[in-house]
Amino acid sequence: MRPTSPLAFLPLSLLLLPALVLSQVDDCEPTKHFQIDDIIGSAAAYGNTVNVFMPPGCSCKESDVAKSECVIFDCDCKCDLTAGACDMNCCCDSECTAEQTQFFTEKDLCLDPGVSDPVYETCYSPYEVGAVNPKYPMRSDDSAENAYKNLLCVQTDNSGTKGIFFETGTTRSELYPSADEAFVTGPDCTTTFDYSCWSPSATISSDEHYLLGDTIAATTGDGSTNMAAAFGGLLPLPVADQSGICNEANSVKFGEYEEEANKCKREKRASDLQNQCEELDFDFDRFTKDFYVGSTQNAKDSISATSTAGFVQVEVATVSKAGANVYDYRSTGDVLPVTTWNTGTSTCENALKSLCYEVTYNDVFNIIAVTARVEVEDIVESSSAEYVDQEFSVEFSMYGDPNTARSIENNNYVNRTRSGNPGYIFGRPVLAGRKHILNDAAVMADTSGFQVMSGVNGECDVSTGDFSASDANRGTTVGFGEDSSVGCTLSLTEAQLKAMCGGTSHTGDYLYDYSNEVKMPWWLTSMNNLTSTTKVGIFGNADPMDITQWIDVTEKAPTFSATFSDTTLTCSNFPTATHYKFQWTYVGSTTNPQAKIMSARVEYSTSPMTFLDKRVAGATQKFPFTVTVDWTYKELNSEKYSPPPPPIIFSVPYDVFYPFQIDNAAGRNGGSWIVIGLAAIGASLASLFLI
Amino acid sequence: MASVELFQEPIRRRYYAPYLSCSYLFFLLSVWVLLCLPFFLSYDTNFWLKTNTYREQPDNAYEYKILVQATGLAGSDNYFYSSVPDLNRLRGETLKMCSVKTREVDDNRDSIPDKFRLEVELPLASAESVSKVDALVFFRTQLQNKAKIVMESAIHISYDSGSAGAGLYTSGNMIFSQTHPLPVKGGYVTMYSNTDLLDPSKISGSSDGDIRTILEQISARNLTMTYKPELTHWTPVVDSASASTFTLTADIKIPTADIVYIPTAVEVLRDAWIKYLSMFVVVGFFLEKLCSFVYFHQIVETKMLVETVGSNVGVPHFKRF
Repeated sequence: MRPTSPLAFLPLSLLLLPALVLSQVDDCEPTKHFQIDDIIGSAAAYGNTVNVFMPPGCSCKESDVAKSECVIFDCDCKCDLTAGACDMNCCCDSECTAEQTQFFTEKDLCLDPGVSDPVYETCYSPYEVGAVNPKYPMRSDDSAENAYKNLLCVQTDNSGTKGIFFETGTTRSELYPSADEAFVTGPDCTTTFDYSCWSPSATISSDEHYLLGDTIAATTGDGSTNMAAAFGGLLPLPVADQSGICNEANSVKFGEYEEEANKCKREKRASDLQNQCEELDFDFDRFTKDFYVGSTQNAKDSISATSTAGFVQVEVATVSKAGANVYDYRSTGDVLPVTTWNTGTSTCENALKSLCYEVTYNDVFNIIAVTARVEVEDIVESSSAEYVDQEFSVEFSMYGDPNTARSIENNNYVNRTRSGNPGYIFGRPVLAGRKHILNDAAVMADTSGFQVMSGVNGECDVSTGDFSASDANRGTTVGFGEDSSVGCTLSLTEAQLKAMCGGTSHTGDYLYDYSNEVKMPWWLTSMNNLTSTTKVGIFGNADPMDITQWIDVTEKAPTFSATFSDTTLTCSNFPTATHYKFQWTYVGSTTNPQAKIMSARVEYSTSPMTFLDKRVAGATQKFPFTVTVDWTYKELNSEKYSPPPPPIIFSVPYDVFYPFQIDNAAGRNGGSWIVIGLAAIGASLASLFLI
Repeated sequence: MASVELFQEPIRRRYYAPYLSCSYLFFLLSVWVLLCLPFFLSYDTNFWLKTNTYREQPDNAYEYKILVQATGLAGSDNYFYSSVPDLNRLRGETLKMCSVKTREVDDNRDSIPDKFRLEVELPLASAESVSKVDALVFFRTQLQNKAKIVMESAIHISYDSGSAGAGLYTSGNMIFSQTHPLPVKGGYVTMYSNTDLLDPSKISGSSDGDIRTILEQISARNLTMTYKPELTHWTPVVDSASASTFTLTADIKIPTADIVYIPTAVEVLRDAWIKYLSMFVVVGFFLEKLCSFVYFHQIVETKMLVETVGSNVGVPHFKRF
């Protein structure tokens, strides 16, 4: 074969030269798309106007059919992607010259033309071929037999069948149905999907009564003009995003609220605090002033620009501030503070710290009032960006008496959240309280449940000298069935350790006089040391009005007396841990067991507190204190209960069928089983005669 | 008068031959084939049951022992907590008292926990951060069916984010792992009784609570409980400058495990007998057909007695092939 010379491509290069020059002039813009204006006047440019079935580049496989009506066709050169030029390595491209095609073929560069390789359906056996003239010493080895494969084959199938083709129809309407016909049924989004399944659709409100989980409409404005949807038209409940930053695109859902508020952070921008203070993140007016909430569920469909009909206005009930009085508009008519920017001190005064919506609804689940409790603080501008904590919460309560009368029997004298009904739900707060100071038959139940100390920052709180609700030494709610261990550390010098061991607080008054001999930190004390014995609810629905539904947390009083050794630098017998122990079990039906507390106890323990390094003057050392809660399950035997049988016509001795058990021990008069058995025997005998 | 079949019984043919005869030799050969051929046919490497498997849900009781070690972005962010007071006292400034809440969930109330939920809250002061957390949770693991063992086990929960976080949520399975099969001896066996992973009564130094050391001890054991996380989510924190809390939440499921054990001699013999018997039946069937053909057609010479009416031994019948 003649070797291909590079000069053979000279004509091709000359042809492509103008195009290359043009492409360089035009900032390397692609020149593949021709300009139709250049050839619009050429009659030869107009092509087939009637063929709607077979695309260009294909050949008709249908016999005796005009090309314009051919629906059975095949296409054989998918690598020809450039119109008007030879595609590199596309051996089937008719726009390539014979030299180009030969070059590609010789270099074995041909691209897949899109036509399946010929199938050698019928080949002569390679063994038979190899056996032709096998005269010694000629013989066929494996490599030769491989060469015989496909040596004598039928390559072209010129049978009457030309292949299998898609049925595309024979009319234009069949081939190209209108969009309305093609998409008459969209995906049902349950078994078949597309992206439109996830597009937001308008929520149709069809009922005026709120259901659990419904969003609540919100609008803002002066009440008569310029009313507009607030926060996307929904009552907001900001929540922390994945980074902890407050995200206001979260809405209140009717009847759903958590025990704990949503905590999130606001970035305090160094150069923008005034704007944030007066109009944005720290202005609580955004959530309360001129703010209206839909009284019905379908109010979101009737937000008006000029009316507040169907909406109730949010009222700020209280504004509290640490170190200042609580401003109570509802009870005392106080003038409520507002968030303001103090230019002189560069302080955002009364910035929003926490917000709680109190939503009141009636017996038909329409909202009749929304009030807000606000907590504020002052935020001072800083030179760098910082973050400020905020909290948002919502509470729901129904106005009016329940359907059933309030009584001890109905267990609904006091509005409260139960921890189970009746059995405790695992993880729900353990009900706790103390005997009521005015009525021995009632219990002052703590709304937070049974609480022990919380190790805020990990350090014991020595700032306060009691067990008040605001004290950090309490705050961890004990959940039913949850074994817990909380602790804190107290950093003491040697002298401070010695003083504490001797019963003197090194700062403040954090030691409680448990007895003349025993002093212990407040964070270790049980709630029963204040006024009376701590009580816990036996069941999760224990009624505060009935003290018999509560049991005491029995205390095992500490008897150890603390001493300090100057030689070993050890404080011995000082209380370092409190242990609450609860025993619980199941009662009721084994198929629907109810968890209850059987017994509760608190005891204290001590471990030596040794100061390790005396050589460094003023050195401090951390000493841990711990409160633990342990739950022990008491397994009770189960018994099978069968009600006594109904009266029968006659009775037999209870042990007539001994040792077969036919009844429970309560039924000593025989049983209906006997009657049934006798009836069955009689029926069997009768059937023998009847068959 | 019509009659009905009331009962049926087969009539036997009995073949007799002297001891010194080909027939007797054939008889011995038949017996040998009957007894030995099933053994050879059924014998392979698994004929004698050396190990066996059964499924059991390990009973894991939380021992109220936990070690938590966390590190943050700064070099000083190094925290340690243990539910063992003696270990805490030896940790100096790295001690950070945590709030630990645990719950064993027994969904089917069979007295064996199906899930274990752990929540650890690590309080952080301003400028403190956590980017990596390790926790060792100790259990008393017990198998109660065939291989009755009791041992202390510990699972390791570990995650390294590289960035400061506010919490880690992880959910996975606590898997019973074994390297070698367990012996079955009838009573309970306390495993590793002399090598407790963490003995609170023998705390002599802070190294006693070193997680790496405990992990090495666990690794050296044949039987371990391993935590395999399936879902993990790290919650980042943007504000590490203010006080916060790092929360580790773990939902740990305790699935039923395949327990590999060494079967007892009775179980080995029973299993082998079943395999042998299955071949014995097949061999016996064909051998019985073969013997019947050989003896009936007198391929080896025998004396055949057929039981008949009125005779207990039948009438002798001789036929020479």
